[in-house]
Amino acid sequence: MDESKLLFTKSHEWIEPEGEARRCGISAHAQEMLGDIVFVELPEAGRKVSKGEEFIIVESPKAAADVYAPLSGEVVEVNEALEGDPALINKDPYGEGWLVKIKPDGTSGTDDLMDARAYKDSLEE
Amino acid sequence: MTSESATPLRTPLFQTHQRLGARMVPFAGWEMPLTFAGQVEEHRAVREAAGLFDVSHMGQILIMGRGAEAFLQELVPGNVAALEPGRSRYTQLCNESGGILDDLIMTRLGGEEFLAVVNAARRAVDLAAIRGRAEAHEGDVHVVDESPRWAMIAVQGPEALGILEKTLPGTAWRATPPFSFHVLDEGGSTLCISRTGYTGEAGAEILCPGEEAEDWWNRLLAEGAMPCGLAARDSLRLEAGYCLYGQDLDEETTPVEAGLAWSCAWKKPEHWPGREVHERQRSGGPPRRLVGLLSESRRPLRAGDAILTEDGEEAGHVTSGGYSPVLERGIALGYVRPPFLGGDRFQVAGRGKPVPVSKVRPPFVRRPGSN
Repeated sequence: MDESKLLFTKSHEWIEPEGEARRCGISAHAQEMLGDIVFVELPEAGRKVSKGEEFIIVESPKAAADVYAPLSGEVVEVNEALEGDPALINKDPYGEGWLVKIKPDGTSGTDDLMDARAYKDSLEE
Repeated sequence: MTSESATPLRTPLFQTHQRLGARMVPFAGWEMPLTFAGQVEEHRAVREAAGLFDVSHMGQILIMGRGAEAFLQELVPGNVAALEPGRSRYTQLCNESGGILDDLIMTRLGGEEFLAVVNAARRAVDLAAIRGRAEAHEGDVHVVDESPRWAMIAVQGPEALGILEKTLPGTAWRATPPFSFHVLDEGGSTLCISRTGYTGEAGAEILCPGEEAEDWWNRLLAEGAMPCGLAARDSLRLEAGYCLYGQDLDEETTPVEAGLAWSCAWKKPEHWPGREVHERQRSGGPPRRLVGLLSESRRPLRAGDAILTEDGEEAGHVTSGGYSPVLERGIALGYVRPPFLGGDRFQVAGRGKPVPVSKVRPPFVRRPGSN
């Protein structure tokens, strides 16, 4: 996944900018702050989520972090590979370490999402 | 300076850690490395090869004088009188109500000279308690805080002793069992090799003067030991089932409750602080007891999580929780109250869904040749 094309939230999630079902995950910065990820609690496919809702838990030995839905819509697919190998999020946060695919329902905007450059700048503030 | 001081203390290896790119964190008044390469990688290196830990924050207290043995025999629950020179054992320092002030390794250096290695965060408390009791033995017992002089480096893992052998000249200390302690004269400088550790692996902890710490660290590193931080130290000791002071042990907790009755010398005639309470709990059962919990899930268990019965009744709480990289499951130590102690199956409830766990007798991971 080309990181420069993704949209980011202030709470360190990323989502693909377009498409019917969009992959989302957590940023390289977020996985680095958490350390070795050893457990992920993913939602069931079919679950409806509202933007900003806690819908995934990602845990390292030292901390548990909530992941917030970057857009409102339906979770149409989850990354089953993470169940056996959650460290994929550390190894490849924008590729094999994706979390779920969301089909946006069009009720939430993307204006507050940042492009890769703005997100990077926000980390340096 | 004490552990409460605003500016964190730094070990003689602080700059070495920075150069190695460690993530540093405040711990017990010190600025210590949390991770170098990453917790799980460091943890595995110790289980499969060898890891190197800076434990210079720990305290070293010398107790000596012609009344030292008799004094210590009445100070700690362990059998100090039975210690041969150059031998160590694990014991605690307790208050009169039986609670644990600190847990420590006591070594007889020789004759009436003993070394207590104590937790960094408890050093001031320990010194006050030991000195307070030593007053009654004026002239016969001397207590010296040697902590500022010494650096301490732990090398742990199946390859640790091999690495030490390559690093150290001489053979006197080799092929000695766990819990032995050697003082070597290294070209006019003192180096101590203690066959102890906090990982459940074979290995040693070496004590050297602070100014020589970097040299020893680099020599051990060059032989292939991986630098490890406090995060891996914590997950390793938890897998090994070792209690951590401040989490599993505190002033409200007795050695009997903490499953440490094996370390108390029940047959010795001397009184030690809290002995009546310990004896009562030993015969009548403690009001709560430390248990090991092994989860069915990979999810790390967390200190503070509730321990519930399968029916959801509250039975206790987790005091140390984490993730076992070897078992790839959540593990924990926690306290359970007597009506529930017979149970083998519990649930642990933190955030999210409660997870089913089995009660197991620690260690979670048993290793050949461990200390």
